[in-house]
Amino acid sequence: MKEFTRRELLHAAALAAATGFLPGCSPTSLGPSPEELPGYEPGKALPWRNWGGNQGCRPALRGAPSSEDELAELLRSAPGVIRPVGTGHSFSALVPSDGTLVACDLMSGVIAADRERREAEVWAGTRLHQLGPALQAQGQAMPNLPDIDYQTLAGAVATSTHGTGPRFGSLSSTVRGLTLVTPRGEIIGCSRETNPEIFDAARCSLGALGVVSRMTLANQASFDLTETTSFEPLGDLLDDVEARRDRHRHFELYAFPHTEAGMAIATDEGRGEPSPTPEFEGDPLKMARDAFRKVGGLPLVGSALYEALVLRVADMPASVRSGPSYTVLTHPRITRFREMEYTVPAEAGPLCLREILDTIRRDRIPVVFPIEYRYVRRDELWLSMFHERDGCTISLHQFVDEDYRPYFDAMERIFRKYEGRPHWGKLHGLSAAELRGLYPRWQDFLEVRESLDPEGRMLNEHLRGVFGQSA
Amino acid sequence: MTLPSRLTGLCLSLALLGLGLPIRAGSPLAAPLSPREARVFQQICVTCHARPGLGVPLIGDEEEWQRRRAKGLDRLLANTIEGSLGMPPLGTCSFCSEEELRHLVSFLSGMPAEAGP
Repeated sequence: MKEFTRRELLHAAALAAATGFLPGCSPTSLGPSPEELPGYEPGKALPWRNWGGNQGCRPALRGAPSSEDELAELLRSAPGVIRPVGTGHSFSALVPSDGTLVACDLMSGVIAADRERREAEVWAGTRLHQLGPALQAQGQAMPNLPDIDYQTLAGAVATSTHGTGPRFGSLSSTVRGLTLVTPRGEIIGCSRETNPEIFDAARCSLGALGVVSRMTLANQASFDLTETTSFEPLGDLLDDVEARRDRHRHFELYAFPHTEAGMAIATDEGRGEPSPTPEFEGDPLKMARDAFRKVGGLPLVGSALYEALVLRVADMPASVRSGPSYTVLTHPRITRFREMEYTVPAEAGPLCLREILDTIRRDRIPVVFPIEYRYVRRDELWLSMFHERDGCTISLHQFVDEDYRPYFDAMERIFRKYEGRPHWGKLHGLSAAELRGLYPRWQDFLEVRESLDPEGRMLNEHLRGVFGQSA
Repeated sequence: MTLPSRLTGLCLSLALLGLGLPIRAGSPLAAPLSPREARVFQQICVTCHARPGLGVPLIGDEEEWQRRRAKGLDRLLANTIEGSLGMPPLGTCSFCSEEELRHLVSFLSGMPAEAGP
């Protein structure tokens, strides 16, 4: 019988720390390999790459306007295909263009706040990590936030990025009005009352209609949250998941592949006593991978040993984080990864997750990244993953230095069975025909898009594939 | 450098930047920043380099930057542009020019912007 060294146990213990990163944490196609991406050559035009390092391009022009007029002029004269770019957190190929990239980082901050209505007009280039404190200064807070706060508001809204909680829609659903600058340089305001069809298309547009310059957000009074993270058997968690989902303001869980371990994260209003942050040397997720590599492949007993290590580590007290909402809902993430996420009908969530975990174990798919499981309320946005359907989102991750394709391909076959809708910013392999079948207002979106950009200047190769349009 | 002294240096640097005063992060050799570069620094670089606990070198942490300086400015610049480990490509500044990135890396690391490897 193999004896575990202290170091190996520490590596396995890192799983707990990994969840400290994760709790409290592409085909059309799955995309090019990193070796195919343009690299840095001194003196040549700089390449652009996304955060996940799986998408890239060498644009002829990278513009950063500081006003709507400058943005309009840039769009009128920009060479080649125009693509808006935020912080590059999309894993799908939404951004690459050898023509023009438009960054709105110099149009950032709160423009105006209405304390009575609890709304704020914000420049679209504002990064989420800046928006929390800026809104707090106005006595406001966004009702919900995604797991990370590195993205620009524009990028998060363009892809219906979301947090968790059955009473909360995606960030896009909190937009009450926005200003869109079209590739022809028109500056169009839209809301439920003004240009409502453009509004329904533009709140989740994949950046395919033009560039959004500003938006008005429906907020609430600033508030505190307390998040409690605990390890529990996954089976127990899944049996009780709908009750917990409804009991807490926010609830999500993580499943640890190849094990019966789960982690629950429940978040509610109010201040609590935070627990000390555990400290580990090195990258916890990579240490967990080392542990899996060392014991997971042992003949006959490997999986059991790995699971025993994880369960041993998981036998620990709950941890608590507490503070202003924007500091608790989001989490720092340094380990870079690639991600696939699908939204399945809320009621199908537990069954779909069980099938995913069974498949990983049965087919011995080498993955240690915990699988994230969340709930999001339905909305009416035409291309939202939550269009007219309460959703359960299931997110899969793989390290940047590992081939994610076999894992994601296998899981996508399962998501298809459950009529899953892919996250627009994450990797997927669905065709235009398949996507059309998932979205009842697909044709309406295409018609609005055509009216705003008849020459297809906002469509890169990826988006032409998504929308089924030839070059 | 101890954590409290690192944080003190960090807070001081950010306070000076907030006041619009010129600062040098690592050494007198580091390039001063233009107004646009200073905005990038405040808006983007500090997202990680002023956030203790991420395992990235913090602004003003001389001990950590000493190790990075051994690689040379050109290597650090290439890592910044292409991304390396936890450093995202272009430091997520999609619009920064090569010269601006060179100045920002110089500013953070305390190396002269003109130096080769």
